[in-house]
Amino acid sequence: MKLIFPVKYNQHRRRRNIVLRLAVALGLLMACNSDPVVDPSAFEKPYVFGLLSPSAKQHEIFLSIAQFQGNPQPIDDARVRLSGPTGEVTLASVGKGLYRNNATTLPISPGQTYRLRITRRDGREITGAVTIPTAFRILRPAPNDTFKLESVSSFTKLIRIPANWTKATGSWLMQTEAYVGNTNDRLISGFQRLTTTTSEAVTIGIHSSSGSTFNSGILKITQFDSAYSIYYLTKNFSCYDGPYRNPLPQITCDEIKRLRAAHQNRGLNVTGADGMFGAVVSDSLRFFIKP
Amino acid sequence: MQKLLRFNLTAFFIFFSVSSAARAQQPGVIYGKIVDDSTAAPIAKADIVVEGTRRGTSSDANGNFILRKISSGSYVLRVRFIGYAEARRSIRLQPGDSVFVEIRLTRVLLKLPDVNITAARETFQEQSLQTMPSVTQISADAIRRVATVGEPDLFRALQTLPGITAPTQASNQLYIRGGSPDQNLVRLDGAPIYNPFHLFGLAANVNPDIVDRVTVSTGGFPARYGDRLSGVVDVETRHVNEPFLALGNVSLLSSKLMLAGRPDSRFQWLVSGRRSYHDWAAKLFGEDLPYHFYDLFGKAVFVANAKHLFNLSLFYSADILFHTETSTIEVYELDDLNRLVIPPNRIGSVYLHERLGFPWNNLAANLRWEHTLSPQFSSTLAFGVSRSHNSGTEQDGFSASPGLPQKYIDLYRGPSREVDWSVANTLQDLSTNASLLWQPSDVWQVQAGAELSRVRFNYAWDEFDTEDSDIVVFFEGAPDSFSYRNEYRRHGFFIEGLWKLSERLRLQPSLRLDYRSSARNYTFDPRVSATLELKPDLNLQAALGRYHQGLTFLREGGLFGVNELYFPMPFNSAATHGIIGLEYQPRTDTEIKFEAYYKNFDRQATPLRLVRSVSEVGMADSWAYGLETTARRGNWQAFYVFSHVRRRFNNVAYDTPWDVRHRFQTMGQIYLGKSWDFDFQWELRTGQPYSPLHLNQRIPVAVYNSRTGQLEYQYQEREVDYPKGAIRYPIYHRLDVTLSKRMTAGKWSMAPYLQFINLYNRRNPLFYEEEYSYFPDQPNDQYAPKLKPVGVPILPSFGVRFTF
Repeated sequence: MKLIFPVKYNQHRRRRNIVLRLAVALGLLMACNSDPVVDPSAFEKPYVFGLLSPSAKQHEIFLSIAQFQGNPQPIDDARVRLSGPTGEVTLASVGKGLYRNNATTLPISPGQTYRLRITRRDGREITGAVTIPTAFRILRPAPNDTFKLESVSSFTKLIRIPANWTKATGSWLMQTEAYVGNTNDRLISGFQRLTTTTSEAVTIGIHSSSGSTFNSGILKITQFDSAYSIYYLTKNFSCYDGPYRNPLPQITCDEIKRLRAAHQNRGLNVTGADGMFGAVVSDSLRFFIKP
Repeated sequence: MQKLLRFNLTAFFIFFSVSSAARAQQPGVIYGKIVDDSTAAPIAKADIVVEGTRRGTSSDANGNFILRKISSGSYVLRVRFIGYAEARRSIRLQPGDSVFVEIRLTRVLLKLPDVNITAARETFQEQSLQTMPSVTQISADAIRRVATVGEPDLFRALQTLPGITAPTQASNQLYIRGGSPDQNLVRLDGAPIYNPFHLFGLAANVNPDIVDRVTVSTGGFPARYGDRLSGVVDVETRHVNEPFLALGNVSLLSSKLMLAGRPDSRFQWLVSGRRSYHDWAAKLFGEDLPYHFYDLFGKAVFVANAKHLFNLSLFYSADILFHTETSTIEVYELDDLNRLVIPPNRIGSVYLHERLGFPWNNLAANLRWEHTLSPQFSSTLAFGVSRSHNSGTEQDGFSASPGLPQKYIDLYRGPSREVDWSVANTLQDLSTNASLLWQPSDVWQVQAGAELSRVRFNYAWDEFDTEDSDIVVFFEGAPDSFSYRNEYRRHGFFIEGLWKLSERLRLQPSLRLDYRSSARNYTFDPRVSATLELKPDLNLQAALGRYHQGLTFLREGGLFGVNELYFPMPFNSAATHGIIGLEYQPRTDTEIKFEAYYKNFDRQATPLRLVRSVSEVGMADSWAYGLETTARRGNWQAFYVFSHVRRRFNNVAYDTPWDVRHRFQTMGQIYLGKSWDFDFQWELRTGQPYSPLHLNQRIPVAVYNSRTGQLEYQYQEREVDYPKGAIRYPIYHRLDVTLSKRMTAGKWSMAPYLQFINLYNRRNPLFYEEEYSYFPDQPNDQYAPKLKPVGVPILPSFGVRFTF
């Protein structure tokens, strides 16, 4: 085919090529990524949790790492060791960031100090130490005491149990729980309150609609070590919405704010990670109910 | 040390031998004025050459010129200026004489060829600029060529210079070589402006049409500029040489008009105004956009005689956001128990008024008296006032129709009369400057001056929710109600020398002494800059200096920057600048520059944490270093900048939000023929660090279950204190283009233009918003936020510039 205006044709083609290349270049530039460039080390923070108890059947440690965004990722490839006065055990990973070991291999004894040592795959270490509160006992009621059921209305009946107990050394936050169950020990009604004193007037209300037959219940007192106490009070509860959110009337909102300010940015009893490594001790008894 | 001593002795002898020779020759001085023959208007920048010698100069803004150290004898002065016929004047100079001449130039129809003056320029300012490194001068035309949203913008144009960045693409703030905006001195005809912004910080409030040129110093500036640590933006308004001139611009954002004239040689005037009109445009479409801005500028120059000049500049800019809304409630009759009477009986109405107002404005006025005492001495005395004010209030009001019983008024009024919040912040700066320039010879000149400045602060806010605002206060607690009154006085003294040590080496030593009432002590700032001509087309430049500042505002970058609150700090912040550079100019239209700098900032007020939660401020130290490479040829420019800005606070070092590690930019103008111009600007740079205003992180939490005796785990959203500078935006790149056509019709010339900002629609994040999405692999319907970039899309714009 003969080109009539070869020069103009070539110029036109060259211009078209330039425009085409320019369009491709602009298209590539448009397609560039718009995600932020993140320094992971600034955001990825390990969290460790552990709570030792003399009555627990197994030791359990939870290990996870918070991300820049999205959910925290469990760490399953660390070496987790727990040591105490009677020796050291290595906890086995069971997945989802949990490490467990049978409690019989390293019994937890009140008043003793236990140490946690976690070695991550990159060699970084997380350590913790906790002293278990000393043993305590419930003074009143006596085991198997019987309490009379009071009728306060045609629908509601009450059981009033005055409770006292000794204080465990190393603990200042305590929890009182009492449950009434049916003959199969299924929960019908209960009572739960935090306290910092060693006495409590336990009142359990039972609505007639429960319809169950019952004749006994369980009273349980749990005493937390200081690490868990501070963690618990400063983690969940806020005084911004008013005093009714305060779980513990004996501690003012100002005090909770002070605790939060002091502990919100560091792990409790833990170094190298955020989180908490604490302990609980508890005592419980069964009481009976007379209609 | 011996070398230094030898150098000083050599310099001392050179100085004295030159001075001695000058005295022996008893030279004379020729000075005078260049004016238009028909209007007697002074002509600026006319070229004056002594024929048969290499001596020459150019006239200043008022047509004045001076030639020193002219040997006695007969000479012919030749004067040229584009549009005028060349003029010659014979002069006979006796030994020691000072001769005044007035040369009148006649307009010609033929355009004269451009004249290149090769003789040394002799004005102090010109020589000073040549000696200082890190100085760029931008003309009004260059400002207009930078594509911006809506219309040309002064600060957007400055952000295209190497060494000047903004924390975000939206911000109009200038971060100059590591310094923050409060560390820059912005002057309009000599008067400082504290918040030079319209449109919430998106646009500069100085109309580019009134600008003659902008001198920007990114470091190493001399002692005449005081109380700023980082940079200087000195805006000089237009000199009027024409009997009458009108300039206008109509754009999507605003319209503006400038009128100027020079009716005779002794008087020139200029007025300009600009107003945005999207509030009116919105009304046309039935929308309510209750915001507009405007600015006004006026200037008058009066030349009493050849020795006295008075310059008065007035500037006012305002942004007004004012929204009112009234809702009407029909009132029906109620019985004694406030029950509706059946059938309903309408007895009147009550009106609930909502008012939201947020105006801010700037006022600057400057009166300057320039006095030529003798050929060797001239003085300047200036009085200035600068005021920055913003206020805001949100108020609910109540009214009722006439005759409505009090019972109903009481019933509906409720709490509606309470004022929700109000703020009112005013800064007022009164200053006086005096300087004396002594020009005994071409070898050395001295300028000395004094400044008295008093800044008053009156800030107050009431019921203002500081938790959610980005206003930062520097005391504990950030209360809802706040009142701050203070006064900051500063006395400054400076002396600058210009010393031509040889034909190739110029030195500009200077010294500054300041007293600040806030810190109650004196600061002493020695500064020096030098230029060494290695070859006729190659200069080596260097500067070293110490700087102090007493005012600061307490932010660390952000989306926008408007109405910053300056505070006097009880300590002086300090900085040290060190600059070295090479300037190569192989051709008149080609320039290549390399410049390396280091800046160190001490004791800068810095927010402790992120904007959202700042109520504490401490002192931080910063340092910035970089290498700037710039190439210019004709209408094309490209530069690459490597820089690093880092700040240390509370023993933690971090990259600041305006740290741009690598930056490449190219811009130019291509003439397409037939009066069509194509301007382009492409920038590629490292994403800057940012700190999100609020972004949650999911962390694991544990709760003790007393029934199982074990901990139970769940996730919790928690706002965390993000480490500063730990997140960077992705690589930033953007192409802006402008297509314009020049047209003339009689005395009118017009240039309609079409612009595209971000031509290929790059999603450069302005910020990220949290987008919650479902993570199916997580139990209990857990949701986690994902970051979604929000940026400026492709923005087309058009307008027209006209002149007559």
